[in-house]
Amino acid sequence: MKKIVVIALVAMVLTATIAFALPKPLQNNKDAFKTMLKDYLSPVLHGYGIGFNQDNYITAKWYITNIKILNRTEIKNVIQKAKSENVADWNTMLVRIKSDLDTNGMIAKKGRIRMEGKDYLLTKIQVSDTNATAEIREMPDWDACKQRNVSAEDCEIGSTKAGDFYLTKRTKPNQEISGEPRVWAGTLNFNNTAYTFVTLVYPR
Amino acid sequence: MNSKLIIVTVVIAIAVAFMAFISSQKVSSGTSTSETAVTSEESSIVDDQVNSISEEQLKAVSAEDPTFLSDMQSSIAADASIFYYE
Repeated sequence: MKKIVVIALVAMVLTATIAFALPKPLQNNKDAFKTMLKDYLSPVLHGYGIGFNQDNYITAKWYITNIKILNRTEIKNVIQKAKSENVADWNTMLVRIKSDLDTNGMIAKKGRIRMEGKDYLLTKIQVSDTNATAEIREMPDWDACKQRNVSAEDCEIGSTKAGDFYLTKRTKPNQEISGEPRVWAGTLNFNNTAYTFVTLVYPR
Repeated sequence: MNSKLIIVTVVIAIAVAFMAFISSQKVSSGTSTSETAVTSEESSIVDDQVNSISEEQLKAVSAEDPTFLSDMQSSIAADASIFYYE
C-alpha cells in the first residue's frame, strides 16, 4: 500500500513538473520576440553615401536607431519570476517581458552599416542635429556571447573594429527643403583606408 | 603741488591703459580675420569634396538596395531578441 502511495506521489510530482516546465522556444516563439522588439525601435538617422579617395571608392548605407531593451539580469529576473509562478508557455512569457520592457526598458542606440554587400555593426554612436560619429565593427556572434554569459554590450565592444566615420551636416539651413534629405560629409575609415565620405541623410 | 602730480599721473595712466586697449583690439581683430580666412579655406575644400559627388549618384546608392531599411530593422530586433530566451 505504501509503495502505491509513494509511486502515485512521484507520478503526480513528475506530471506537475512536466506540465509547468517552460519548453525550449520554437521558431515561432523566437519570431514573436523579433516582431515584438521591432515595435520598440525609434529610428534616428539613416543615409546613403559614397566614400572616395584618389584610388578608389566605396558605397555605404547606414542606419541608426534607438531601441528599448532590457539588460540580461532583468530578463533573467522576469523569466525566473514567471517560472516560479508556473508560467509554462512562451506566449505568456512574451507578455510578461513586454510589460517589463514598458516599465523598466532602457533606450540604447544601435546601428548598422552595409558596405560592399556586407553588414557591419556601428558602436559608440554619437548623433546631434549637425554631427554623427560611430565606430564600425564586425558583426559579433551573439549566440556564442550568450552561451559565454557575455552581455550584448560587451559582445559588441569585443568584436573586431573595421573602421569609423565622422560626419557633419553640409546643407545650409537656408537650402533645406522639407521632406528632402540633407547632404552630410566627412571622413570614413574602413579596412585601414581613409575616404572622403559624402552621404544623403534622412530625415535631418 | 602734490595734487597736480597725482592728477598728471592719473591722466598718464589712463592714456597708457587706453593705448593698450586700442592696441589689443587691433591684434584681436587681426587674429579674427586670419581665423576666418582659414575656416573659409577649409570650408571651401569640403564644399569641393561634397560637390564632386552628385545627388543623383547618392540617390542611385539608395535605389540599389530597396529593402535596406527593413533589413536593418529586422537585423537589430533579431539580434536583440536572442538574449530574451533562456
